[in-house]
Amino acid sequence: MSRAMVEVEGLRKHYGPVRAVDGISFSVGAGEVFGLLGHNGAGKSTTIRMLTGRSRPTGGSARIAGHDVVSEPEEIKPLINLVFEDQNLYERFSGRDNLAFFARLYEAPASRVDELLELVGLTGAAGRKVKTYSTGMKQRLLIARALINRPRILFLDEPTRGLDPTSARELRNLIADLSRRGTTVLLTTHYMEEADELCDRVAFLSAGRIVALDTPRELKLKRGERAATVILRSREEKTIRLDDPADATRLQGWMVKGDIVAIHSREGTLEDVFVELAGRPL
Amino acid sequence: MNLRRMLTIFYKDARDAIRDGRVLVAIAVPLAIGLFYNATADGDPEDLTPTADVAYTAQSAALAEALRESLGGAVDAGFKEAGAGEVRALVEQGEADVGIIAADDLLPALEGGGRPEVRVLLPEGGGAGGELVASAIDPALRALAGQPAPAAVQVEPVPVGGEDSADALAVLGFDTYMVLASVVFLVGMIAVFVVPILLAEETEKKTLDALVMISSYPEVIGAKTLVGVLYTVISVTLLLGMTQLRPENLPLFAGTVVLMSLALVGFGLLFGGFFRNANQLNTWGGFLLIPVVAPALAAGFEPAGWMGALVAATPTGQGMRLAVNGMSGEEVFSDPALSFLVMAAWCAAGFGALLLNLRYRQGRS
Ligand SMILES: Nc1ncnc2c1ncn2[C@@H]1O[C@H](COP(=O)(O)OP(=O)(O)OP(=O)(O)O)[C@@H](O)[C@H]1O
Ligand SMILES: [Mg+2]
Repeated sequence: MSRAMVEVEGLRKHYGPVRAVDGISFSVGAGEVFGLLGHNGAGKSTTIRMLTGRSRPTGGSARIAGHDVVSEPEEIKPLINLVFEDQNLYERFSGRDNLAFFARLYEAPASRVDELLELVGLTGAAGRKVKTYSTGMKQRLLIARALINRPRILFLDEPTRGLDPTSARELRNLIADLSRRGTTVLLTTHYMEEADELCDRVAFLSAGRIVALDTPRELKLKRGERAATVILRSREEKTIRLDDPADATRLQGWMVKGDIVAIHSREGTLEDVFVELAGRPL
Repeated sequence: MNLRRMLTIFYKDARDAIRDGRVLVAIAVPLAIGLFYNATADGDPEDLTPTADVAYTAQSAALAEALRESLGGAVDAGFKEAGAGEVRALVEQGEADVGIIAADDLLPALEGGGRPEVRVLLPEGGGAGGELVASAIDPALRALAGQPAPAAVQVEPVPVGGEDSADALAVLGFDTYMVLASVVFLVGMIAVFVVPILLAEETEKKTLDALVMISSYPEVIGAKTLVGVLYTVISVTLLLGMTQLRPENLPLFAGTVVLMSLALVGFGLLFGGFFRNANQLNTWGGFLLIPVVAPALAAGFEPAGWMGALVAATPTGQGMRLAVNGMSGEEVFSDPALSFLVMAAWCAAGFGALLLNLRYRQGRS
């Protein structure tokens, strides 16, 4: 993670009295996978809109690969791409024609189209009109489109929405793979396990502000209960505190007697963190 | 502004739009109206030459021949030889405008210095053609009798009611004029309906957001404009082909259609931007067509007062004037340069306002 590919400084977006994004700062390094989490209306999509040059910030600044999003959008455009929150495809065209059109716009080689159709498993349906696709197929086409220009920085707004568990896992693998090869990824998601698995760091947004920013592990450790549940041979459940010396002695006693069947850690999940920070469950 | 990207989007739009039922209907309606007028309206241009059917007896054949020569093109006359009774019957039945009955064989009698009797039958309340023929009889007889004509008289029909009232209708005929009005309707439909629908659909389905990830608003606008011009040229060609009309001055006509299209597309896209979705546009777009088509319909009647000002100030009013000139190959309407200027000004105003509006909306998005 050498230099920052995304640098955000005091970024704000107000719609009249609505402060959709209210002064956020963070940076994302090259090859990093960064997650923006938060409840509905927290400002995730608005942040992505500003970073991808489709919405002008009310204040603050943002730089993508060193270029200012307001004054140098043309330098940024070829370097980035986005999986949109909406499935904005040309429905009267086939999947292949959708990709071919964007390949021409981005001046990508035509061979890239079939390559990507293969990658997202749409080769068989490539000739069909998109309006006949299922939600998941459209989502996969959307992902293929976002990769057409081999973006150095890839934005994904709820990319696994509408995907079945297998396709969602494939996409997560794909994202991890891209990241390993140096692509910087900034994504939003409502699936906490997904964020946990994929993201190097996550930022929690609430009402347009960042309320926490760290690696998933640190967040879980900081918020989680430092305790474990011990299940004994008698099927009794005992709670032991990890920082209580008295509990350490009890644990030792059970172990010596061979009484323990299982120990479950009570480390928090990212969802626990979310509920605590955002104030309400998803 | 990247030309290659603009053409890529243009090519996509041109292919996509014809698959949209709304687009097809918007083009088919003016085409059908044009065809309808062409098929049903009174065809010929208004011919100012009076006509006359002349019936004459065999004895007055020489006189008929002399009349035919002296009338020339002043009267579109048809001659028919018949027996004396039949000549009278033809006039009575309104089949003939003039009847000529001579008692003896006319030519020898005239040459012999006799005064042969010539009876001219004119129906009561007959037309100008008959009167003209009747008035030409005396000079013709003099010529036959060997008397020199005292003067060379030329009859010229002159339209009444001012110098050039409704010239366009007279020159082109009502049907061709209405086909031209349908051309303007077609240009209008594509500019304020079809092209804005393309843009509204991109906004509504958010594909516009995907486009501007690499392209820009001016490129998108440029592509939509080109689609408008292409569709206009194709469908106007289609309409002229189906009505078998060929503009006498093709470059003028084609230039007029393209410039009129450009003058309207800018405003069409501007108004299209105010509608959040294509169906809203479908509902309200019809109202926009009234100020677009009305000046074109009025232009041929050369209205005075505020209607005249409307014709002079609008791109479709001026466009119609140029279209009439282009179709007829004559300068029916004077000041074509001014007409072009007015259309060019609307063109600049439309696209200028559109770019300002885009900048404003971008700032707010
Ligand atoms: N164009 C707009 N005009 C007015 N308000 C807007 C506009 N776009 C977004 N907002 C408001 O800004 C806030 C943040 O919206 P945003 O779409 O960024 O949320 P989000 O975090 O992506 O939510 P979700 O999880 O539902 O996608 C919301 O209150 C929303 O109503
Ligand atoms: Mg969102």
